[in-house]
Amino acid sequence: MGRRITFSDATLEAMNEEMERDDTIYLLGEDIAMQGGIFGQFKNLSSKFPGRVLDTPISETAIVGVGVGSSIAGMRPVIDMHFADFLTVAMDEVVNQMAKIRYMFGGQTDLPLVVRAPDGIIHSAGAQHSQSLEAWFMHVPGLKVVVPSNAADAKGMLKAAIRDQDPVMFFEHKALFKQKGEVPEGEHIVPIGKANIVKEGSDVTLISYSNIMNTVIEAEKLLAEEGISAEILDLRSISPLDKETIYNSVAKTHRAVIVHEAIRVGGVGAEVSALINEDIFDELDSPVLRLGAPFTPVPFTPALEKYLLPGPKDIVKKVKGLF
Amino acid sequence: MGSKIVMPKLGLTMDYGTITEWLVKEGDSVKKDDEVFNLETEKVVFTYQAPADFELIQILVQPGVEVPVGEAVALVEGEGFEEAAAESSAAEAPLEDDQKTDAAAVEAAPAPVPANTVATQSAGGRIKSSPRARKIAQVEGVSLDGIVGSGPGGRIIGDDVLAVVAANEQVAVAPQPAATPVVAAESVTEIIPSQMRQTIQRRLTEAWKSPHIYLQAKFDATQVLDLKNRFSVSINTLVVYATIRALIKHPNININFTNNTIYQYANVNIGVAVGMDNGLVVGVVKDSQAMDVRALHERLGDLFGRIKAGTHEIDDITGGTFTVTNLGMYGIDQFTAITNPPEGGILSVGQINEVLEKRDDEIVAVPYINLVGGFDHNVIDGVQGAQFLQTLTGFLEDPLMML
Repeated sequence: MGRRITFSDATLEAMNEEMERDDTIYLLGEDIAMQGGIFGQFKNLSSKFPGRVLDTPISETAIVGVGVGSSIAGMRPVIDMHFADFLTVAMDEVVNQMAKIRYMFGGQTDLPLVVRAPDGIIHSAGAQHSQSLEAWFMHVPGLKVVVPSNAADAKGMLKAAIRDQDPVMFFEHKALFKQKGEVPEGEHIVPIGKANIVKEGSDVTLISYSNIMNTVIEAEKLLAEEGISAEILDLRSISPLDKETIYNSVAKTHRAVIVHEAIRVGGVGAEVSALINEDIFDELDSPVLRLGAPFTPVPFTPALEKYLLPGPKDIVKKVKGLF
Repeated sequence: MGSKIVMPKLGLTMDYGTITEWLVKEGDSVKKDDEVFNLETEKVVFTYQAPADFELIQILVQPGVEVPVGEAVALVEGEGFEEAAAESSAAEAPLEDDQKTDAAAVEAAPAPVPANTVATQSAGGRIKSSPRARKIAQVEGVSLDGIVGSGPGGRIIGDDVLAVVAANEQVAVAPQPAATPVVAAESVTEIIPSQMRQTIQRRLTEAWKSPHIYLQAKFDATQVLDLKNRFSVSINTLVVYATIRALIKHPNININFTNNTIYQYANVNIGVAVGMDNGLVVGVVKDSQAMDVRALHERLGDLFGRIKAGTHEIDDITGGTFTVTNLGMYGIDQFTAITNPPEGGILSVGQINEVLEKRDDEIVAVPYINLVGGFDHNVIDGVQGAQFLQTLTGFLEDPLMML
């Protein structure tokens, strides 16, 4: 392989390949045609695919609404929320329309639609531009929710999302866009709903996803120095959730710690922890722990923003408490 | 629906038991409260009674075979047997009322340690164990009691139970090395250790694994000898009485240490060692702090009598929080006894020695008694032990201090 490209370019590659393959795919969003997206993730697509990359007014309600309607009408829209925080504006379209249509109309229509939503903390973007809201959408039946942690998965999962016959929420962390990784050229599909064992281990399973996976990978190295063998599990998608892989791993290590950037309260970690307790209680040697952001808006102040998220040492400390 | 009768746990420190006789046969229909088997353990005989009606399908353990607590001894068939066995357990065993123990537990459930008046733990003595550890223990038929947990706060984790299972298997397959007599056979008497001897061996070997600390002290017994004559009680009773008073002042000595937890008791269950021809038993007087000297003396006399006659019950020899042992009557000046787990301390009492001392320009003969405090250094440090001995010798030299 040997080819390292950024997360942003990996998604761009997926867009290019898919738009060439299927001309029902078109893009809708703010500042994606003229500007090429704030993270360069739509760069040059508008000149390459004239008329298929559309800048919209600032109305997320309209963007999702048009996406849902055109999807029912036979198109494969990829729509961009600019910031995942702005999904709040379009919640009715997402939760009451997009997620419900297949069910309410008795499966008479497919609804292939990808909602790209850059989320997470980056450089003091403030409380309204820094959130990780994936858990809300995990709670809604009818949505698939993916949370890639690296460039290769970003390409593979975006291609899988575009080809899906159902709506997919594609949460891409803003801090990941510039991160480089090895990405396979050409056809590379990462199926939605399949977690990834990033590193095998025997003493504890660290479950994570998205950008904070980088922190978990660092923590694993520190733990190894202390003689604790951690298995790293990247969920990749939280709905559907790959319970089988989670259970197999925890049944091997007998301990689990879930790490996410989102607020700990009511987060994905709570759901995963509850499932482990309910289904494989007898495998546990310690309580399932969660690490996440404290119950507070993301601060603007750089010093406080840095303080918000668990670092590698916090994870190490938590894990060591289990032994 | 098949169930099992398992080796009941009759006391905190009971790990093994031996069925001496089956009172029913395979195929028998047994009624509730019928006597099922006699059990020899920790120097007492106990009769296991049926907690419910059942049919005895198969006897798994023959008389004379020592088996660990929680191991299945028979397969039975009976409606509601398991529930009844679990419910009746505490009531059936001749135990302290407040010592909840799975006497007739159906499976190797985690055996709780005595609640008594535990001051350091509110959880009532529940063994801390992970779900996985409990599952493995259940599947493998191993009791969690006595397993030292390696998890946080002493939690027993799955691997701890697996280690015990592996160790048990090794013991089971290890060839027994045949002891070769080194002298002519006719001049040697072979003695197979009795159940009591085996218990002593196991308990002492286990206890000796703990690092001990020994503190020597002595006291002027003039006042004690005076009291002995005035109250017609023995020196031993007076030393035990003073020990009880000192333990009340030093609750950090009046403890049990088990499951990686120190249980500090508000009441003093004083143990007093009783030597016999064929072994050693520690008699225990419960709630001894409530007794006056004479009541204690009578109680000890009664206890020793029953122990020597072999008519004592398990309640008489379990649940101690500290032990006193006295070899003074055998002319021993001083000795260092091994602690009696799960207790944390033991007091060794020697004989009276008259020592000439210069007091107020006079040479007087002072009767001294040597004491040695032996402590499990895991839980009791030298200073704590010394403070306890200081209080004790103070009481013995000036008994009014005890009031």
